[in-house]
Amino acid sequence: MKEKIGNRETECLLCKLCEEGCPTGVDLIRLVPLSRYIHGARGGHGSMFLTLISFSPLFSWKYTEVEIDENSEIAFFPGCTPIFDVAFEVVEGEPYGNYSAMGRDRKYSNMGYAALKVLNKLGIKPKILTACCGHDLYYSGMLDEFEELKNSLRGLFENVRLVITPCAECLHSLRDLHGVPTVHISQFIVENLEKIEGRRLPFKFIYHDSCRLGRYSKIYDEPRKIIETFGELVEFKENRESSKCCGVSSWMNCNATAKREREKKIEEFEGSGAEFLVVSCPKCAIHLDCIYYEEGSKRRRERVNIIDISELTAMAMGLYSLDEVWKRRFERDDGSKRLFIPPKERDPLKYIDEELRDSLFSCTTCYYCTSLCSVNHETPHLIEKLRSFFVSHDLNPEKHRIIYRNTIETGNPYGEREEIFYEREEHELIYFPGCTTKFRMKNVYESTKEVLSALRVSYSVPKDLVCCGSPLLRSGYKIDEIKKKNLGILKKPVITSCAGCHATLQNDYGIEVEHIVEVLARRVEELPLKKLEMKVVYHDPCHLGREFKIYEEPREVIEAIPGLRLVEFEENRENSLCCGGGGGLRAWNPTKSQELAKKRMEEAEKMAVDAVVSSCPFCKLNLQSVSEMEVLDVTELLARALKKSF
Amino acid sequence: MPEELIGVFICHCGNNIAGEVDIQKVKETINSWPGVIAEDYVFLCSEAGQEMIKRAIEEKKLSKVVIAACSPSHHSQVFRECIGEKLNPFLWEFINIREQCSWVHKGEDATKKAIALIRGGVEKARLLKPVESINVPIHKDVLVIGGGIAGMQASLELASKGYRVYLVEREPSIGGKMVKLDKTFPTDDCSMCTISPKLSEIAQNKNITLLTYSEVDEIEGRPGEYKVRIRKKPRYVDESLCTGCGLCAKSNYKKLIVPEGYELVDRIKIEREKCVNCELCVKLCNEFGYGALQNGDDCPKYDTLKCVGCFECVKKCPKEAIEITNVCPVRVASEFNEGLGARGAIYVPFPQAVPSTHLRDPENCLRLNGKMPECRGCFSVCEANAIVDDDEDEIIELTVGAIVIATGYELRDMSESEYNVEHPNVITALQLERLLSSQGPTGGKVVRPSDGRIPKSITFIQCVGSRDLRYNPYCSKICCMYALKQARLIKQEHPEVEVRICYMDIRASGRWYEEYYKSTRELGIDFIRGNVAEVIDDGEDLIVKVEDTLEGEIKELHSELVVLSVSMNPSDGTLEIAKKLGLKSGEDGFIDPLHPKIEPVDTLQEGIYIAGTCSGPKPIQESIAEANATASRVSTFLKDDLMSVPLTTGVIDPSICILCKTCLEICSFDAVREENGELKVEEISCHSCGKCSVYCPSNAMTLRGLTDEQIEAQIRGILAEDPDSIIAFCCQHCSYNAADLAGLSKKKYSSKIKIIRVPCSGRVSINHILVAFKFGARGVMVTGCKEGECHYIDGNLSAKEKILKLKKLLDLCGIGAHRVEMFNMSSSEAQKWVECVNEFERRCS
Repeated sequence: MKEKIGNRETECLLCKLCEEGCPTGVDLIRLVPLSRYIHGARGGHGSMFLTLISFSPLFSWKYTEVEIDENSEIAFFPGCTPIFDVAFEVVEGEPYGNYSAMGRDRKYSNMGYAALKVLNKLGIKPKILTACCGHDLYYSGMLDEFEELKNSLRGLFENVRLVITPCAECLHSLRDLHGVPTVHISQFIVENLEKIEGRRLPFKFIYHDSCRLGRYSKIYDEPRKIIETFGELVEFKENRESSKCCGVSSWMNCNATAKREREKKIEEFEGSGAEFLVVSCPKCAIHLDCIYYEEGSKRRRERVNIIDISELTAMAMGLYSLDEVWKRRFERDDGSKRLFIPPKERDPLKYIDEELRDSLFSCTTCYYCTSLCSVNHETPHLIEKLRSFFVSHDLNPEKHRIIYRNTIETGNPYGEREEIFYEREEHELIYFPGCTTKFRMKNVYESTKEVLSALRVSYSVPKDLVCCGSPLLRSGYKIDEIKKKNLGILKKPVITSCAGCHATLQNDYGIEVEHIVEVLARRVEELPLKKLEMKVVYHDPCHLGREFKIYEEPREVIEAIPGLRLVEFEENRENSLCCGGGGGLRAWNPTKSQELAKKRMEEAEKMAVDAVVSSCPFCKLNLQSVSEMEVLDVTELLARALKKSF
Repeated sequence: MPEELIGVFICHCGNNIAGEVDIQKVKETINSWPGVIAEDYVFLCSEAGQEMIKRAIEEKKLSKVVIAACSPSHHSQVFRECIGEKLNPFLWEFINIREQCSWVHKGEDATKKAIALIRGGVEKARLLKPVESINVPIHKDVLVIGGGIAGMQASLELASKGYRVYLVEREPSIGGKMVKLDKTFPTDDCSMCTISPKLSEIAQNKNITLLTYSEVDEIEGRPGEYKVRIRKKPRYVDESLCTGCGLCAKSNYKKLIVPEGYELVDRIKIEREKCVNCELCVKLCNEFGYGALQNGDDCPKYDTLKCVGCFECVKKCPKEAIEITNVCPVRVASEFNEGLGARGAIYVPFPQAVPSTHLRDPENCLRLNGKMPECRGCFSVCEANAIVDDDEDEIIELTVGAIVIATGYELRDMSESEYNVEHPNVITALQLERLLSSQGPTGGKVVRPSDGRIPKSITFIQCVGSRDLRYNPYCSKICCMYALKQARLIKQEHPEVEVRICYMDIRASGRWYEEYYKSTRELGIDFIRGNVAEVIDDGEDLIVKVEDTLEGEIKELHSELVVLSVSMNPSDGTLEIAKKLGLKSGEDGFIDPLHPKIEPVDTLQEGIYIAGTCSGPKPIQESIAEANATASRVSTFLKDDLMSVPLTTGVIDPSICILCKTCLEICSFDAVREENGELKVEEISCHSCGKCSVYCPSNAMTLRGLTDEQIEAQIRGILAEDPDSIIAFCCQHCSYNAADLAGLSKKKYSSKIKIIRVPCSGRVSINHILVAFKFGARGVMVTGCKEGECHYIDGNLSAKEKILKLKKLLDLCGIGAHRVEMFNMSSSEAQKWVECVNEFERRCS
């Protein structure tokens, strides 16, 4: 089946926008690099920048026109911008030099140069560390290479008291991954603001929070303070904690979604009245700039309008001017060395610890993160892929293995051996009740039967149908065998009761399937429903709601019952909270699973409703397990309203 | 997930590989790699070897195969078909451990390199994916390039099979070299008598469209569908009107040697006996304002420089005393007669020319070159009004399914050699043919060009430029026989003339040839076995200095005429078309057949076939036999309506594509189209060069046949076994073959060099090279075709540009710019390959 957009390894920007949202606190920031390490992922521009980083220990260049002191305890870490400048340099007279947005005369290394000028002016002559911090290696999943790099850079930081860097990625990587005391240039400038003599610039500046400086390092105020000191600050609609990523991280996702993000950002900037977009990370500048340089771009830049916070400061201090952004301020150092990174077999196990494993299996595949994600990355897919790896290395929870064995042996995850109900007669429709309905929520089967017969819908429930495989897929197993078996039977249109079955049959089987609420929404008016004086709240199942955007159908059905009052949870529809049952969490960690269910039910209790209504027997099962309050399936509710009519 | 098993098959190639490479050790090493098993066999390409491969795939459930054997240019088809019976035909990798290993390295080095190369192949094979095929139509028309005897015969044969043939000839007439010959060996029958029926058959055949005086400007497309652009040069004579009557070409010029450039001659001659000096002509001429005729004492005086050729004087002379001698006053050396004798600026190469349409040579025509714009000699005499001034190139665009190349040979230029070819009495055998021919400039009299006298002594010199390391190392095959023929024709006609042949060996192998030689010897011709050292001009005669190796003495042969049996070179047309179509040629420039023995008329490219001397010297009967064979091969190729084409092309993932259109801009074949807001690769137009995937910023473009991951895995594999290597990316069209050729010639070079075959140097990305350095490579060479010769237009230029950029990056990275370099060479430059490799290795040490 074709991979859906948003499912690729490269898609996640690691922008941390979803961080606060995860109900079980899954550490995606660690899981994504691990998944990339295991499955392999390539960066944009033929992955050349990622490979270049491996040469970091050999990097050698010198800044010109700055004062440095090799013995200083303060080190300046400019980052990789000279490498990018050379890679992006305009090649005159060559056929393709300037294609793929690769021909730019803007020198991003001047961000470092400007920072150095500021430092010099403040009387600091730092030592310059020419290396790459390896941020992109780590986040693109080249973990072995990152370890190698980390070890070989260790000596570089000896006798260094403080590292100052103009790059947000370097800041995060040096401080958090290398464990080196590091500050961002904006922090340093703000600390020394009173010493700085600068004039106010007659411009408006819109500030873009880079993810690594913002959400990763919580540095929101310093750049703003600098801008406000030297000019007028304008804000993006989404700023600070909710700022959107520039669209690319670690050179991984130079793709259509990234471009869309870039477009949005630049459009907002262009409509903001600001003359300059100010960044705190050179990489943001490079990626945002792409829009001006790529082939087919409608925009053509006449002047530089994306600058860095150091450039802004240096401009205000009269140390730097806009025409200098084109000048090259570094030159090559001599060097003819060789690198030798022995090609190694990947060994993911060494990067896996208990915490990471817990994090991975905590995910309920509820798609809440996807709803927060600016590129719609389908994280559950990544989780399932990673879990497959754990399964293949016997690292998955024993409880999941039991579910697997049960399903293979008995055809259902509960290990029930008795075949309860089926309708042998051949009809144009197949009803797929699902294992939870069959073995744990028999009442849902009965009510569905009643509702369908009231609508005079004839259907069959073939005897040999086994579990759809949803619990196995979600916990990292392959379902080829059972899928083959079911597909042999499911040759007619299918309706399901369960949101999980619905998602699996539709996405993984690729067959025509409808959830019962979809059928009902079309025909609910035909039902002779009597008044049912109840106050209910509807709980959106994740696999029906966020995954298929089926929000209104169940509500229409519920509201068709006369006398009934439907209220909403505070978090409803795309913001709905997971019942906690999904993704194998209920089996593996019932406590954690029930915590989520409790949270949901407590809210319902506070709302003083008569019942919680859902359209997934599995949600019903989990929610019901923590509360005395009644949890009903949509069909159960309808059946009640029907009964009253007899 | 089932574990994949890769089978490596190592060929001993008799002792060719096993003689240097320790097969057992290689096998043991391979077997220690996970998921790989190795087998070996003495000749993998044999039936038994192929059976073994197929059996192993089945029994061991192999998912991928690596063949370690000779060069892919020999047996890739064989193995593809063999493996294709069991697996998708793209799930295997060919590793060359003969030409690029056992033939160029010794013992342990060879073994170590073989292991590294195979490891590269294995790592690449792990990532191979099936490539599907699609069916595309085959057009049934055929283009034949070259209207010599081979092209003519192939055209006739194909036409008689019912195919529409477009026969393109660059000269004004078809007939090639054979129409110039007087008689042909070993039967001594008249050449023109045998070829002229074919000439007229071609002119009349409804299935043949003849395009003479035409150039093939462009050929694009694929086997089964070539788009051809032909440029028909202007003749300045209307083809539809010219009857070929020859009035315009009338001339009485008799000189054998035309002064350099051209000579202006009188257009008319006034017969004094008839002229009554009535001065009517003078009056007319002055009235018209030309003044070419002026009053003379007893007869008007004529000034050819003023005459425009209205020929009114001829028509009006009451005594018919004025006669046209030369309609066109310009005389230039006749190409058809090999520079002996002359033609006008309006001419037809020879009387039986097909088409018989005359043509004007714009360089020499006084009217066309502007030297005498009012000249109208030919206009005045042409009864058909066929002469036109405004004529221009006509572009003809065709679509054909197959192409036959029959572009022939030409004689090697021997000027400024020891043979003194600048002397008028030193002539080539082809010039002698013109002298022997009754239609030639002397009407069949063999004379000395310097004075027109029949020479008393003639010396034939054999192997002029052939079998001579200073010139062509090869034998031109036909010279012995034609020299025998010419000597015997002269001796039979003029027994008194002393005829000698200086030869190295007389090669008369062929039915009736030895008998022919024997009977020629019996005519009293002097055979001197020895290499000619020099032809000296002693003022009167020529002295041929030769060491008679049989008599053991140096002889100085006084000769009145010297005839050179000059070596055969590929013609310019052959060289040009080989370059244009990207065909493989040898160091000699002749086009290589797919296999010199068993596939003599096929080329490396399906759909393109060869006939005649474009693939090497051969006599007429062989050319004709080849032409018939070629026609047969073409019809076999064209028999189906559809052909299967593997989709090794680029493919765009629309969900990643950022629509930057870089691929669309840079594709040399216009294969990327924008459709409904998405970019798509048009698979039939794509040539699979992979340049686009190198430039795609978002990795949306993948070359199905050779992905980045596969290339990088191959690099990684090689360097995992031998990190001290120099990776050489070799273009499949040029340097890879040059390296093969170096192997064939056993030219040794360092075993550090590890070749990775790529479709084009433009396929190599900066990242591929960086990956090599990352895993420890000593250096990386990218080798591509010479500039202007890229088979994908400019892949080598884009590679060059990448290298320039990369050099700067490597400087910053501390690796140093000198560790990467681009080299350009052609497929025949084995020596250059070795020199480049040695030079680069020194640099990277």
